[in-house]
This record gives sequence, structure tokens and C-alpha cells, in this order.
Amino acid sequence: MFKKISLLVVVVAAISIGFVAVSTQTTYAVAASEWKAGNIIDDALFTDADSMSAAQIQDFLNRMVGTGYYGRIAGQCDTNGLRISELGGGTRAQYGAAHSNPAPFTCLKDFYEVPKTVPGPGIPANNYGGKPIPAGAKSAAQLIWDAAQKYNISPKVLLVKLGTESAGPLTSDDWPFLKQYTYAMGSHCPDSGPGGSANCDSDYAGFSIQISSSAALLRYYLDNMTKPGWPYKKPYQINSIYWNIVESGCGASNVSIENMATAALYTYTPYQPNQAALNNMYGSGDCCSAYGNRNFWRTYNDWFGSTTLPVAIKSSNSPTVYIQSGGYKFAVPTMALLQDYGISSGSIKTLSDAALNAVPTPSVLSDISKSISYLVKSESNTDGDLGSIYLISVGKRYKLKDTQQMADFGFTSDQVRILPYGLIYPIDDGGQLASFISTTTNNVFKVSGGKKRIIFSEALYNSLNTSGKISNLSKSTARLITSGKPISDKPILIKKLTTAVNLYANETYYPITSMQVYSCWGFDGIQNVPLYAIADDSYVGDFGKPQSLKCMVTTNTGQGLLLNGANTYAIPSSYQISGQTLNATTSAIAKNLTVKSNLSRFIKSNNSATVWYIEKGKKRPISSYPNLLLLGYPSTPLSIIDDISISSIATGPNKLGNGQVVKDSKSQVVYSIMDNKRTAYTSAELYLAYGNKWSDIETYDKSFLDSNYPSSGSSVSRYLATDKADVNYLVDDKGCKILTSTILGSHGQSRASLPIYSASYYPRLNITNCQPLLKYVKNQSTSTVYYVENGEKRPFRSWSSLMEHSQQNVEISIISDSTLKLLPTGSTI
Amino acid sequence: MIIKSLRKSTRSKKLLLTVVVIVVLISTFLILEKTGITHIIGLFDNKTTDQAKEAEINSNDKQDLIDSKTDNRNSDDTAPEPTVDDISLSTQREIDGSVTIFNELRNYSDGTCDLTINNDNKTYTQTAPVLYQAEFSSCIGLNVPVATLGTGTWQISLTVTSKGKVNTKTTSVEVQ
Repeated sequence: MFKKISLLVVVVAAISIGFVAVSTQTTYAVAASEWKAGNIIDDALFTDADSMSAAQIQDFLNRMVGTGYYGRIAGQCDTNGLRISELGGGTRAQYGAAHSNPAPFTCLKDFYEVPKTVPGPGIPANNYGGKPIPAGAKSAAQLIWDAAQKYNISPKVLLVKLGTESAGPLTSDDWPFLKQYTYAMGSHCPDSGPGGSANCDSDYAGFSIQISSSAALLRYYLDNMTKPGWPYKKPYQINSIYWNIVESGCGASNVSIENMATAALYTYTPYQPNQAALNNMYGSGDCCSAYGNRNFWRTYNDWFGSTTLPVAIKSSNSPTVYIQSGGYKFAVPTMALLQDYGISSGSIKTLSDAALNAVPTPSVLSDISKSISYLVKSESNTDGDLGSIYLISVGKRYKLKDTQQMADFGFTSDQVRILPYGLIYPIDDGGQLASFISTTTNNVFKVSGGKKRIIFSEALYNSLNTSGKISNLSKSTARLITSGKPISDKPILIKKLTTAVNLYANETYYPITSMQVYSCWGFDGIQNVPLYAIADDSYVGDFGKPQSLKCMVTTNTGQGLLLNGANTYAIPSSYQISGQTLNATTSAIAKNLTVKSNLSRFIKSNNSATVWYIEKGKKRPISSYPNLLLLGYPSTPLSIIDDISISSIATGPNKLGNGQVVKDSKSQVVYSIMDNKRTAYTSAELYLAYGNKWSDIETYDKSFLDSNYPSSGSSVSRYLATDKADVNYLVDDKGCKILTSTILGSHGQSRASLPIYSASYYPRLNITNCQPLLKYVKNQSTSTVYYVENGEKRPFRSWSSLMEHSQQNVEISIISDSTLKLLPTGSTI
Repeated sequence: MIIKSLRKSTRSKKLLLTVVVIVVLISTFLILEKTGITHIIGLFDNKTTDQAKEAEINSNDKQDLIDSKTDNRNSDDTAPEPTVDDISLSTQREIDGSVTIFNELRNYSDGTCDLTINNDNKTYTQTAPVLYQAEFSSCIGLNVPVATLGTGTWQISLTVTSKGKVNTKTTSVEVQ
């Protein structure tokens, strides 16, 4: 039992300690040694009007209320004054009532006022004390932002001024009185009261004119301090600056003011802190201490980080560049990163080795990195930003929301470098890192799952990013995030810098490796597929093993197409050739092209004279124009197609047309091609009788002919049959002859054993002039007349014998001697 | 045996009761602190060394403002009207030969300066707005080339008009 109770006590104690621990929050504190009287804040920071948006100012005020002495719970306003008054007198409400300011109290974050634009009596209408917001009133945050923009002064500077000039101060007071708003900035309050006290001009009473007139004064100081007759503090020279008001008799010291912003601050508040004030940074010094500029410097550091921009330095003997901040130097890995930190490479200061070495690097014992990085956090999780992790890019810091967002961007905790808060926080606040990013090259991406995915279509982007939140990153920062596939709701073309255009459809890349393919798919104007060029090849990724597009394709429905833009061909299935197999998406794109005709068996490209013959899944070269004619051109037209499609078809042996006469290189035998076989001519006379010329002969390797056009085993016949019984031919070099079946029989020929005449087999044989062959024949060189019967030729002994045999009606056909010789000689008539 | 057991039980109950009371007290304390009704923890946090000192200053500022001890930041008060004695004039010969008229305007928050310089029969006039500054305000840019009026004794008159009140300060300077 006792053990249980002891355990309970320990738990309670632990909870209590934890509560106390979380109730306190340390801030980034500056040390007296860091104070430089001549450079309180850099000009660029002082005039950075865009360093905060109105929303960011409001957020700042929301967070600040309740954090100071007059505050109990950060972020909460004690509107009704329920808590105990720090000034005594019971509750705050009771104290307020007793001092002419009854509750409710209106905190700065909730304060609205009608802007007072010109000096004049009275306090502008506002919502203090629970009154409704007057027409035309603006929030305190908006008033601060408006003044910053109008006079080009950093809103951070105005907030710090408000936090140091106002009683309370207003920025953190959770039960402010209306009086605290009236002269909140101490603007137009000359130190002409008793003992140098403020003597405020009532024409400048009111929060809005206090903010705007103080910004206007700072701007006026900046714009006029280098003109003749400027009686106040001057930049770039030594100025005598008092420690306290003249009446105090504390005297002054010389300060070399290094910039205009510091001169403006000394003009606005013409005192510098003495050592006592610096030694007690958050408290009082001595009777000669003044705190205005000390408090400005300290508060700016507390709230917004260093008042000086990081400086890039290097030695003349080394290329290594460093950022100098907070008394340390941090190596800069790349010039691109230096620029992402908002420092131009042109502003690098070259120091001597000794001067550079005098700037230390962070101790090895600390967690602070020796070099800057894109992903950073400060060393403490309890500092002003509670240890947030940032992505640095284009001079801004983007806060990462959580570990999930880290994972979405593909970042790991190992990549996060720890840097001083004072180096990180002065970088412009880019807000929370959005899940959509843009690059300086105007590309937008959605980031998730560890990858960035480019979006080309503005309409698609707008539909996906309904919040409109987007973070702008540099190219080098964007490269840190692995690229995935683009996001597109329709097929698009992506033009990379160094490689081919890609068709991107249904999350698949299809490289287009030539202009021919680009054209055959109709992307040069026929297809409605937008082309997007990207500024960096690394912006698209996850290519896998892409399949290049081809012009010869087979759609998902099995249709063969030879894409050719507006003149696309259908590929007859009989060709037995198949192209690149398309899926449904790419098939749909291909089918957008109009099919004008079937692909011819004759194909060629514009880049070659070779004509090919498509047959049984192969393309076969046609050796000559006569051969092309023999194969059927031009009645069968020629299709001009791209080289890639031609090369995608398997190549077969030379194609020879029927009737093509060939010989092999080692033989004198001439053959005629008939149905992929070769048939020999047995004599030159017969060869010529068929109308061939010697120049028609093409010579091939014997092996080629034997393999592809083997011998038919027969020879070209002198006699040819047709499908008509009385129309047969004798191919004779003295002219072709038509033979009736009777005459054919008299020559000892049988129709059944003769080859059938076909114009394709005998393309050069002109049968239109064939003359009937008679039974009486002779050759041209002799006078002997023969009578042909029973397969013999019987000579006539004499002319009288002939006349008798013919019954005085003799007609004689002249035939060649070679034909005559084929007929055996019979008995003389 | 029974008596011993009862004694032990009573002692345990007392101890348990004590712990419960402690827990209730701590919880009440934490709730009061968390809701801001009390502010005891703040007295012992790190503000005691740094920020508490500043807080003390802020506390005084607010209290003084409420009590109107430090200045007239109560909007019901008005600043005293400036007099001619609040204007001081001086001149400086610049390297380029021109003459700059410096002026310190105490008790001025805004207004207009009208500068008039006479030399022989020549007159030079210039107008400039009053630029506010806490120590003394001033009209900036009152710079006159010598050739404008020539050498001699320049009679300088600066009239400052602010909130309907007109004060004129004069001086002279020998310009060689």
C-alpha cells in the first residue's frame, strides 16, 4: 500500500515539474558583447516592407498577447479582467473601474480603429471596451501592415518599436488600458516636458496615426539624412550620441554610424545604452542608462532573430565561402545554396587568411552544423520558433508542418542541419511549406509520397490546389525532391531539354525518338495533344523502361496501322506483319488518325531508293525497276513510309517477279522465274523468242537462287497451251504462232503436258501478233518445205509433190530452224 | 491479531487521506496557475533574472501612464504652446559656398517654416515643413547659394507656424 502511495506522490510531483517546465519558455537572448552601437540593424532588414504579411502580423499579435509581465496565458486576452491585478486593487476589472477604464479590456490583437489619416484633435472611433467595430475600422495588424507598405519600413521594425515604446507593452499586455493606445509609438511626443518627459501632440493621438506617423518619420529620416542641413544623426560618419537626456548631465560618446537604419533609430530615439544597461540586458542599468535603442535591438533579436543579415566571406587563398553570423562562420557548400539564403554571390567579402581564421566555426562539442544546408532547425526546441524545421529557398524559410510532410517531400531527419536561431530566423518567413510548390522556372508540382509531380495544365492545377497555397522554390531546392510522374488528366507531350519528346498518357512515358515518328502520330498539328517544355530534365521521373513509339502499330482491337499522319494506312492481315502493340489509351490516340487506304505491298522511304515487297511478314528488296514492273507496279501503287517502320519489318531475300530472267554468277544458264522457281531456257533462240533481251538478265549468287528460287526441273517450253483447245502457241524466234489442237497434235505435242500460257510468266512474250501455224512449214534459209504430221516433219521431194499434196492450195508457215530441228524428219513425200 | 490488523488499516487510511489532500491541493494550484487566476510560477521562472527586471520597468510604465506621472500621454492633456524662445537659428557655410540655415524647434510637433533672407534689395524665400524629432524638431533643406543674394550681411527671418500659432525668429550673418 505504502509503495503504491509513494508511486502516486512521485507521479504527482513529476506532473507538477512537467507543468512548470512547459509553462516557461526561453527565448533567443543576445549578449552585451554582441551590441554594436554603430550598427543596430541592417538597412535591408529595416526597410523590408514585405517581411510579414498582414495575416502574419495578426498571427504574431495572437501569439504575443499574454506573454509579458501583464500576461498570464500566451494567446489569451483577459477581456473581462477576471484575474488578479498586478497593480493591486483586487481583480483587474476592479482596478480598471477604479482608474476610469472599466472592463472589458481590448487587447491589441482584437483592436480595430478607423484610420486617422491627418493630424487633428480627438481619438478615432475604435472598438475598445467591447464596442462594436466601427465602419471603416481596420485591425491593428492591418494598420501596421498598411503603414509598412506606405512608407517602405519593415513591419517587424514597427512591431518592435510598438513593443518598446508603448506602455505594457501593448504587444503582450492582456488587459491594456485605452491610454496605452493613444500615444503607443511615442510619435510626436517631444521630450519637452518637465525633466525631459514626453510632451505629446494631441493631434497625433490615436493608435492608427501613431503607427503611420512613426513609419512616416522613419521614412523621412531615411530620405533626408544625407541632405545638407540635416541636424540629426548622420550615417557613415562619427556622431556624438548622448547616454541619456541632456538634462541628466550624463554626457555622450562618439559613435561611428555604419548605416542609414541605425542613424534613423538614433534620430527617433537619440540615446545609446551605456554598459550598465547592456550588462543587465533585460533590466535597469544605472541613473545614466537609456533603453530605447537597446530594447529595440534586444527585442528584435528576441522576436525576429539577428538584426544583421548574414554576410558571406572567403579568403583570397581558398574558394570556400562561409556565411558569417552570430560570431561564427558556416561553410557554404554551393553558390546556389548561398543564393537560397538570400545572399548574392557578388556580395562575398574577401578577407585575409588571418581575418577569416579569426572567425571561429561552431564548436565540435555543440550540435550546431559547420555548414549551412537546405533543411535546418535551430538548436533549441524551446526557442522563439519552438525548434521548427525549415526548408530554405529563394531567400525564404518555409516551415515544415510535421514528420508526415517531411516524408511527403522525401526528406529524412538525417538531412536536417542545426544552425543558430539568429541565422535562421532573419531569413524571410515564407510561411508553412505548402504541398504544392513552384519553381523559379514557373513549373508547379504537387508533392506527396516522397516525390514531386509536375502539373502542366493550369486548369488541372487550379482544380487540385483549391487552397491556392504554394511555396516558391529555387531549381536547386526543387532538385532535392525526387521527381515522380507528371500529373495529367489527358495525354500530353513533354519536351525535355536534352532528350526526346515523350508522349505521356495514362501515367506512362512513350519516347518519340525521331521527327518521323512525331509526324506519323500526327503530333505536328493533326492531333490535339498539347506539348509542354520543361526547364529541367530532372523535373520528371519514374521513367522505368519506356517503350519508344513507332509508326507501325497494332491497336488493342488487333487492327494493324501504319501511322502516317493524315494519310494513315491500314495493314492487311495477309501481310502477316505486326507493329507495336498499343494499349487502349494509345490506341485511342492512334485511331484519331484517318485511315485513307490499305498499305501497298510495295513500300519505300523517302530516304532510300530501295523498294520493298511485303510478303509473309517480311520485306523483300526489289532489285530493279524492271523487276518492280514484273511484280505489278504501277497497277499496284507504292506506299511511302518512314524508315523506322521499314526497319521494324524483318528483311527477307530479294524478291523476283515472275518472268524475271536470272543466271548465277558461275553459269551461263539463263532461267525464268515462275512462282518462286526457276525454269531454264534451253537455247538462246528460245530466250530471245520469248521477247527477252540480254540486258534483262540479272545475276545472283547460286546459293541465293538455289535457296529461294530452286530449279523447277524443267525448261522453258517452246509450245504453250491455253485454256482454249484451239489456241496454243509455238514460241519461235521467227514469230510466235497460234496452233490449233490439230496442228499441235501434228507436232507431237499434247495439251495436257504443256505449260499453260500466263502473261505473268511470260511478260515479254507478245502474243497479239501471233500468226496461225500451218501444216506446211519451212525455214527461212532453205527452200525445203515440210509437212508436219504425227510429230514428224516430212520433206517434199519436189515442188510438184508439194502441189500435188496440197491440191494446188499451198500455204506455208516460216518457222525457225531450231523449231524444225526439234521435229524428227520423216519419210519424204 | 485482529487488533494489530485494524491498527495497520487505520494508519494506511490516514496516509491515503494525506496523499489525497496533497493531490487536491496541487491540482487546485495548477488549475489556478493554468487559468491565469494566480501567477505564482511566473515568480520563479527565468524572468526573475532577466525578463522580470524588464517587466518591472513595464509595470512602472503602465502604472505611471495610468497615473499620468511621466508625461501627458493621457489624451485629455495638451502640449504647451511653443514660443519664439523655442526657436533657435544658426548658419553654416558649406564647402560649395552655400549657406545652410540650421534651426532647432523645441516644443514643436509639426508645422511649416517660412524662411526669408534679405541682403541689400534682394530677397530670398523658402518654405519647408517642420520635421518632428523628440529632442528638437527642425525644418530641413534650408540651403541658399551665396550667388542668390550675394555677399554682405544677410538678414535671416524664420517664421514657424504650427497649430495656428506663429513665431518668428531673426538673426543676421555676415557672408563674405
